[in-house]
This record gives sequence, structure tokens and C-alpha cells, in this order.
Amino acid sequence: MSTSLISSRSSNTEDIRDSSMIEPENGDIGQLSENDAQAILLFEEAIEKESHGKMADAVEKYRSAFRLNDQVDLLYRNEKVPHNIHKLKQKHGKNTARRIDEAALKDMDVDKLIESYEHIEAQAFDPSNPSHIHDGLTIKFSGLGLDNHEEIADVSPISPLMNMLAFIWEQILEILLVTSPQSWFNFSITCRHNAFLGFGNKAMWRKLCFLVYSKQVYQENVEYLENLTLEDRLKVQDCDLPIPNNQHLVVPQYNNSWKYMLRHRPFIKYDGCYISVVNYYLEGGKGEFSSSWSNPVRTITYFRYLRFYPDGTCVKVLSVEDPKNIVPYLLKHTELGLIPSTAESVTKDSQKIYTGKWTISSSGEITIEIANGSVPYYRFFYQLQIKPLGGIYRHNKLAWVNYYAVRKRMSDNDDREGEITNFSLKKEKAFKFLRVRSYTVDN
Amino acid sequence: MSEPKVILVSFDDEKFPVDVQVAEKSVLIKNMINDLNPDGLQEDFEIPIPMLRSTVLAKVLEWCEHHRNSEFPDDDDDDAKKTAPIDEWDKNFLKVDQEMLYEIMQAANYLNIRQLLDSGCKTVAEMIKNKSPEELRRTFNIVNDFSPEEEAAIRRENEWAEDR
Repeated sequence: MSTSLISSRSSNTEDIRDSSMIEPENGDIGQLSENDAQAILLFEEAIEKESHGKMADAVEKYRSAFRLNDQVDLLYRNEKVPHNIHKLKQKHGKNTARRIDEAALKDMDVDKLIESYEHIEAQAFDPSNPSHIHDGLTIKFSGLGLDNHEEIADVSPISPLMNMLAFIWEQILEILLVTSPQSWFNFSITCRHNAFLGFGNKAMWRKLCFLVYSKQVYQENVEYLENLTLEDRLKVQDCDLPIPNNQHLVVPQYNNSWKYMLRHRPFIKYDGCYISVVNYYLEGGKGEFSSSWSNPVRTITYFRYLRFYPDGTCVKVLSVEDPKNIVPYLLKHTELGLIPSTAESVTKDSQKIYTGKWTISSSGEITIEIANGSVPYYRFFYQLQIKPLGGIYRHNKLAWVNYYAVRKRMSDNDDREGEITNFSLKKEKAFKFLRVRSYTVDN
Repeated sequence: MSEPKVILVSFDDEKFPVDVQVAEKSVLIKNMINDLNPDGLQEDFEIPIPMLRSTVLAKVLEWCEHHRNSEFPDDDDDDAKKTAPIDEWDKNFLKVDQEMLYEIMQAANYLNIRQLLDSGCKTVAEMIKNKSPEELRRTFNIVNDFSPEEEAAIRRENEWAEDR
């Protein structure tokens, strides 16, 4: 039943508001009968529900769609997919939605490939070159010979800015790395020449390492400092710390390669939040006189949301609401510490934003402590491990390691203080990172 | 008697007399003046700048004139400098076509006028922001010369790094 769109990038990193691919577009289904148009609309809504993990709702929508037209899947493919691919090509270029030789891809050494671009010049668009033409571009011929001139298509030169010295481009790209890392990537993926500027320069990776690792909260450093007297703590220099902030002291452990370090040394990301979608089935009972063979089944979906801050704090929300109702409000400083409730919201408690503390170990294990959580006598602990998502999106997943609570002292002679309660991880799912543009490091 | 002037001569032989204070916005020119006139400038001093066309030199000197009294912090806090918004006057001053922007930046680099080059870099960075790769190709009139496999491999290897 799953229908995934052909997309050039994994949807999990797409900005939450950039959901144009899954938003129904009524206007484009002009020639279809009203019935078919409605079926496609329902089908698209189903895809959206499915993408958020809301399986029960998705099944419901798919069913309605197929009831209107039992070939709605084919209809969708024929009517909407070509249009969506065209739109993607307009945005990402000619190589979007092309079949790719996976075997060839696996054998590629990307670092070598990028090095080989060192002396490649950027090329201007040339309408007489068939390889430059694809359906995403409108070709305009001007200056066509009218008299006895030869027919020459007008080739305008590349931007003079492309000829600027490499070290000036390095400065420009560093500005982008600091202020808008997506723009650094988008520029560097435009052509081979620019890929060398953006990905082939170790200064870029060094900059990223400094931006990323100096803002982590290391378990080892926190413990080291806790064991010192206040007086000694003031005297501590960066190089005394188990994990120094000066990345030059760390890079030798990573083959002296900044890019290697970024790939292999886990880190927490702040430009978004981490979401875990939990889905499970609950078997209900049959009605008293039911003659049904099977028990009714209900799908339960809920979401865990986590967001981290470089000051060592984090926020947590558990809710049945999907990301678009929660993510924009997942902030540290809100008036009431609540997600504004929407009409569908069930209880007020599910909207509460809990604050906690977190650390990362050098091996990428995250420990979160929520001292004042949903149960007054519990201190909650989450242990999570940073992992890549789908083998491609590095450091984008937090897998569960442990989930427990420690009983607090509730009275003077509380003999249950310190009791540990372990919670089952059977239904829990890993967290995935979602970039959110509205987040800043301290909002 | 009025103060002696620095006379800058462009590639196309146009002469631009300016105050020493204005000319010295360029570290290159400042060093030339000091090296060749260890006792200070006694009379008008001519410096040929054969690298620059008169239109570009005029533009660069307009910037130097405007900023003749500007104090630029000499801090080395790199990231703060990079995230600081571009100077409002510079922003308007650099609203020129790509050819002129390129020439101004090359000139700023050659003459060693760091703040002008910084503003130029920020202007180009602003041109790049909020554009898709395909829009950027149109902006710079370049073609995508990757094979589908190359592009896919490079995306997979690097795209994750834009999140942090």
C-alpha cells in the first residue's frame, strides 16, 4: 500500500513547511472527472498521513480513495507523478528522478572524484549542446542570422563571479557555512567546479568541525569538572579537559582529516528536533453477539519529541499530535510551558513541555535526565545512541539504549528512594532528526 | 598651501586626485606611500594602477571616500564577523551588475581593502541564499555537468553535513 514519491532527497530532512510534494493541488487536476479528482485528493492525503506514521488514518483515506476509483494508484502515477517530477527538475536540475546505476554508485570514491574536478572550469549553458538541454529549461534562440550570417545560437558567458579567485570563494562559502549551511550545499552541488570549491576544500570541513563540536556537552568534561573543587574549576584550561574544545587537539585521533572527523565523530544537532513515531496495534474485544472471525484492531500512534540546546538543557514532549502541530511550539521559553492546544488535542497534560539536562559521551551515547517529569516521584532517564539514518544521513538517528526512572525522596524516611524502574523499549522507536528553520540556539 | 594629494592613474590613463587619508584605505597604496616617502608626503604623489579601469577605480574610490572616517574593528572573532549583517550603505553601493561586482571585488583584493572585500563576499553570499541548485545555475549561468551517478554519489556523501 505504500506509495513513495520519487524524490531526490530523503523527506526527513526536508523542512517541515516545505511539504509542497505532498500537499494536494486541486488546481492541477483539470481534465479529470470530479470523482477521479476526489479520489486522487484522498490518495494524496493518505500518502501524507502515511508519511507521518499515522497508519490508521492512512488506511482509512486509502480505502475511501479506492472506493471512488479502484485504480486510483495507477491514475495517481499517470496524472500526478510526471507533474511532480517536472516540478522537482525545475528545482533540483536534470539529474533528478533519473534511474541510477546503484552498483556503479557503490564503487565510487567520492573524495577522489571531487579531487579530479580541481581543474574543471564551470561551463555556460549552450543551447547548441544537446547534453545541456532538458525539459526543465526553456531555450531561447536569439541573434539567429537573418542576412547571410551563419545561424549561431546566442551563448551568454558564465557569470564573471565564477572566475573569482578560489580563496575569495572560500571566504564566501565560509560565510554560508556559518549563516546558512543549506546554501553552502546547494551552491556546491551545482556543478563539478563548484563541488571542488565547496566539498574539496579541507577549510570547509575544518570550519564545520569547529562549528559542530565546540557546542557539544560532553559527559567526560562534565564529570571531570564535577570532581574538582570550585577553585580548581576556575583554573581549568581547555587543553586540560578530557575532550578539549580546540579541535586541532582532537583531529589527530581522526587521521588528521576534518572530513573524516565529521563523518565518524557523533554530534547532536541544534537546527531542528528529533522525533520518534510510535505505532502499535491494540486488539479489542468482539461485540457480545458478533459473528466476526477476528477481533477488531486499533492502531495507536503517538510521538515523542526531543530538542537539545548547547547549554546542556533539552525539552521533551509526548503527544498524539503530528509534527506540524508540535514542532513550531517546541521551545524552551514559552509562557506556560505548554504547546498551544488545538481542537483535536486530548488532554492538557499531553501538551506539556518538560525540561531536562543532557550530555553526550565521546562514543555518541546521549543521557537525558528529566528531574521533574510527568510522575512527581520519578526522575526519568533516557539513554540513546547516535546512529546514521539509512546509512546516508549521518548522526541523524537516536536509537534507544535504556529508559528508566529513579525514585526520588518523597518523605523524611523514604526507604524507596533510589529504586530503579526500568521501562520496556518494546514499542519504542528510534528518534529521527527533522530540520526546523525557525529554531535558533536559544529559543 | 593645500595638503599634497595622491593621484591614482587608471589603466585608461584617467587621473584621480584624492586625499592621503582616502587613498590609505588601501593597504597596498598605504605601504607604497610610506615606503617611497619615509618622511611623509611633501608634494602630490602619482601612483599608476594599471590593473583597474577608470570606472572601477572611480567606484572603489567612492567607497574609500565614504568610509574615510569609518573605524573598522580589527577583531579576529571570525564567526561574529561572518554573521554580522552587511553595512547598509555598502549594500546599496554594491547593487551593481555581476560584472561590476566581480571587478570591484578583484580590485579590493588587489588593493588590499579588506572591508570592501568582506562586503563583496557577503553580497555574493546573499545572492546564493534561499536558492535551489537549479536557481543558482541560472543565477551564475552554469550547467550541471555531473552525470546522474556522480551527482547522486556526491549528494549522499555530503548532504547530511548541512544539518547541525
